[in-house]
Parts: sequence; structure tokens; C-alpha cells
Amino acid sequence: MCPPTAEPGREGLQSVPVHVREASYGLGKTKIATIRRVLLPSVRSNVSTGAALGMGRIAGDTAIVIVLLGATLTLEPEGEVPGADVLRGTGSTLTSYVYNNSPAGEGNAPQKAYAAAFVLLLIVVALNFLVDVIAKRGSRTGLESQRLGA
Amino acid sequence: MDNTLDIEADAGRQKPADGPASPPPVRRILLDQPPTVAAPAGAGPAAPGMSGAAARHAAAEPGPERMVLDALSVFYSDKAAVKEVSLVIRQGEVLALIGPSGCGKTTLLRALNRLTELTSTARREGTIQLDGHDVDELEVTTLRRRVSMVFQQPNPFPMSIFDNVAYALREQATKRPGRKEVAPHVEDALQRAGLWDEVKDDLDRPALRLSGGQQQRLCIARAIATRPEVLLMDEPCSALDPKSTRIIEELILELRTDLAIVIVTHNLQQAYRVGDNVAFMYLGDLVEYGPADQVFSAPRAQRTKDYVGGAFG
Repeated sequence: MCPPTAEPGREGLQSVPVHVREASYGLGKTKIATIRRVLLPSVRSNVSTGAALGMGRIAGDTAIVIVLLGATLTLEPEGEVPGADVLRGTGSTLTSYVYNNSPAGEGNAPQKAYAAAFVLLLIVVALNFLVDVIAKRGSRTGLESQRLGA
Repeated sequence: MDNTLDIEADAGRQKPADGPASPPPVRRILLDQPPTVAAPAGAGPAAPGMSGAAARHAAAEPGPERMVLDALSVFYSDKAAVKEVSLVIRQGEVLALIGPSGCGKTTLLRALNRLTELTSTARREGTIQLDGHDVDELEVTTLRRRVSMVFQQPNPFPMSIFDNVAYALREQATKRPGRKEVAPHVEDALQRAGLWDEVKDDLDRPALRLSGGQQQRLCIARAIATRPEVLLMDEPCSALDPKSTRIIEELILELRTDLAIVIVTHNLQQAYRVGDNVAFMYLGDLVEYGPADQVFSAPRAQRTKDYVGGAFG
């Protein structure tokens, strides 16, 4: 899960020219200030792309979830801590829910499967939209005009 | 090839002013000869018969000493890039560093505000003093605010024009000064960099949308915003068109009244136009240092003569 999430950010950081960092150091800025104010804004869209890719991978994964959670249709919390109990207990993800409720799975309730698939679709669309918004905010930096060679 | 050093100009070389076009003189670069090092010159009277720049150079009064370099050497691994250079940088003067590529000009410049320390293999010997204090004793962030730098490539940060200048001004304090507090300083820096009139209406525009020349002036504004004592410029015009170059050169001449400027350039005409003093470096050695007119019209070292011969010969 980590490589596809981290890779776009890493590539973005490598694409920032050395002299831009040096310019920041040359103004008497510390490493932390340089990272926060110069490097991170430069890779904003890359990081958001990576995050969306990572979340997309998780939302779309079926096999790993079945192995890890057992993937039963019943949601059974374990432990007393609210919130964490759900995470520790059994359950399923949307994708395994779709699978289990489809005629091929144990539930055989296609209408539930379609409903879950629709929710999954909405989540993916929302994620893409979110990335777009973050990237647009990044465009106030004018970075994309530089990438186009303008 | 016989490895003899020196850029050897043809002896009977003449400038074909308007006569028939003769082939350009053959110049060979010869290796393996030790460079001839001339003693640093005092500020002598400018050579007569020069106009324009010469008059300007002659009129410049030597200002107070800002930086004093004493036997400064910089090594990359074990290779010496700068060898025992001693120089004085005065307020109110432009010191132009000239020389062929790879002869240590940029390294010398970067050593002045300790940017060489970012290179892990670099090692420095000798002392650099800023206003009488060893730069090693100053905090590096303080030093770099007092000795700031403009790079070869225009490199504004990915933020608005205002923020680019404000970024330099804001210290890493727990309470960052607000926009109202820094605005007058930002305006002042942009004014001095000659960019205010062009950008005053949209200071919130991304800096990367400016043209190359404007970006470079923004970088100068950013560098002078903290009111440094010394401004280092590493070939600031090499990525710019002639018009932007002229604007920046004029800017350099205006700025030099309140600060010391060290400029590295490959362009000899530019060194002559903007430089009050010129230092010629060759393979890490400071070969010749003196007023621009003297270095260009009456160089003492043979090596300098050969190098600058290409500029006005």
C-alpha cells in the first residue's frame, strides 16, 4: 500500500530543483522552514494524488480484507473502547460486502450488492473530486504554468 | 597535443574594424603550466582615455570594508576548487569575478555565505570575516540574512509575489508578523528592485507566472528585503534576454550604493559595465585583482591579458 501512496510525492520532491532549496537556505531559512514553506507546497498535488491512489487501492481491495478480517457479513465489535472496538472486531469492506451479497456469495441478495456497489462508486467519485480541489488550490502557486513551460 | 597552459592569443592580432573580414585569431588552451599570480593591486587611478564606465569607476570612493577573505581555500573531497584567495569586499562597490568555467568563481561565492556547507564533500580553510567577525562564529541563518544570494536561474518559490518577498522577511519566530506589518517592507524591496510598478496591482498573483526577467528581479527583491550588507549574484543574467539583462545591470548600479555586491559573470563586457573592481580567477587561483579599467586595459598578469583579450581586442 505504501509505495503507490509515497511514490508521487517522492517524484515531486525530486523534481524541485536544487537551486530552489538553496535559494531558501540562502535567505537564512532553516531546513524545517524550507520544507514547510517551499517543498511541501511544491508537491501538494503529488501528495494528494498519492493519497487518493492509496485510498482507492484500499477501497478496491477484496482479497486482503477477506484474509485479515475474515469478512463476515456481521459486524461484531470487540473490546470496550468506542470506535476502536469496531476496528478490532470482525466485519467486511464494501467490496467484500458486494461479493458476499452477490449471487456467487453466501448472502444472495443482489439488491444489497448493487446498493453497496453504488456507495463504493460515490466514495471513489468523491475522492477524485477531492484530489481535484486540492490540486486546484495548488494552482494558486502557479506551478502548473511552470510545468507547461509557460 | 602539447599540454602547455594559457589561452594563447595570436601575437599579431588586430581588430578588423572595418577592413576586409579576416579569420578570427586562433586561440589555444594550453594546460600544465602553473598560473602566474600577480600581487593584489591597490586601487590605483583609472587609466586615462576611457570614457563612460571608466569615469564612473574612477569616481567611486572606496567604501568601508565589509568582508575580508584571508587565504580562503575550498576543497571538494581532496581537490582544491579555490586556492588561498585573499580579497576585500567593500560597501558601495561591485566586485566582478571573472574567469573560465570551473575555475572556482561560484564556489568562492558560495563559500561567502557558507552555502558550500550544503555539499557534504566540501571543506573550507582560511577565514572569512564579515564586519570583523568570523563567519563561522555567526549563526548560519543570521549570516545568510546579512549575505544573501541571487542565483543563475530565476527561482521564485511556489507562492504569491507578496509571499515570496515576505518569506524572506519573516523570521522563524513563534509569532509570525502579519501581512500588515511586512507590507511596507515588501513594497520597499520591490521598489528597490524596480518591480513595484509592474506588480503592485496583483501582488497575490503566483510568482511563477511572471516573465523570466521579472522573476529574477523578484529574486533580487527577495534577497535585498532583509537589508543585507552583501549581495552575492551568481551569473544573474545568463538566463535572461538582453533587455532584462540591461534592466538588471542598471539595478545593480543603483543597489551598489548601499551594499557590497559580488557578481560572478562569464560575460566580460558585463563585468566591465557593472564591476568597479574585477577579480580574475583561473583554476582556483586569484590571478589578478584590481579596478575594472586596469584589469581590462592594462592587465599585469599574462594570463589575464590573454583572457580579457577576447573581450575588447
